[in-house]
Amino acid sequence: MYYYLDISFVNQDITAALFKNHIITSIKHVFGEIAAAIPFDVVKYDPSEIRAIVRVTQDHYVKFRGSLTLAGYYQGKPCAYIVHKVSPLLLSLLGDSRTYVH
Amino acid sequence: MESVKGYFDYNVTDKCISNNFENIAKQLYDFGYHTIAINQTIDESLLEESISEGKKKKKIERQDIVPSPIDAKIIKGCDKLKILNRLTISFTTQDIINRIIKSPNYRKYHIIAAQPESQQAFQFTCTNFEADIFTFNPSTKPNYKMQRKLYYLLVERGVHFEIMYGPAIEDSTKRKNIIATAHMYHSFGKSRNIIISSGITNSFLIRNPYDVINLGLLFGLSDGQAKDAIQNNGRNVYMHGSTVLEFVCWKLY
Repeated sequence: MYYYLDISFVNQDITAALFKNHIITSIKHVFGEIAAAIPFDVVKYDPSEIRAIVRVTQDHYVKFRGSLTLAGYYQGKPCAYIVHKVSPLLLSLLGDSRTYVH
Repeated sequence: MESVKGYFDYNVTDKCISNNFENIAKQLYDFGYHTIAINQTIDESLLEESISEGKKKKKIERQDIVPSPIDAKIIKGCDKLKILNRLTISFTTQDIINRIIKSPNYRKYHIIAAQPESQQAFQFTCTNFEADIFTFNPSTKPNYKMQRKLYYLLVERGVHFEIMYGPAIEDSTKRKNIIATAHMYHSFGKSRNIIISSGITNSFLIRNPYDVINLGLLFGLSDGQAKDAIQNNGRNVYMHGSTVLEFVCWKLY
């Protein structure tokens, strides 16, 4: 089963490839080489907002999100990942009961 | 008694106050932290310096050794944000504690945290000292030996153990020490009475409460404990802090 994460990056404009690369480096930094090999995909990337939808398997979700939380620097400058929403269903990233306006 | 709501963050360092506090408070509020505490630390080594200076210049007014709590203004747009004051005492011997407790400023703080730096201080914290939070210095390894018996003694008295995540983002050595301490709490006390706080120094280190809960899993807590660590246990700390305060007042009058 996959988890889909809607995340954005707070630092500077970067390309999709660099975005994925930085996630891999952050995982490597916290959990080492073997964990850096966990499979994940950038499903969609929006360079204007530096926001992406990433999917990762259920088994690796905690480690993956943990390393996003602990990522503090990009090229020596402070950075942060904001996780907007997480769901096992891709469709629920569009809207859920929390954002639903009656 | 006033109620406290939302997620808790008991460790916003006083460095943030001078450095764009309004922005930080707003960010915390938007993330759902509705109760935050501004942390002020007194270090034993700094106090000793002031004592020796005092001896040299005897006639200079003796200042209160406890700094007066920072009074944060209510910030526009976050009216429900409750800002508490927290005092962290870092000490190696218990002598200093008596002097601190006598200080009039001491009672103005809502929450008291103990940070023992030696075996003797650790024993004292476990048996006698009325603290609300038990904390540690993430930049060094603990100088004391944890025991299951002492851990449970603290749990029984309603003391909560703090793990901060801010330093873990900044620096890899601190991260190592924090994870090691968190796992020590797991092996000695099954991670009971844990609170997770930020310990932030700038706005880039603020994390979403859900991220923090997820991080709790890496610190060796279970799903429920991780959620309690920033929600229910935070409330317990507040209750513990205010009841101890009331008890002190009742004793005085």
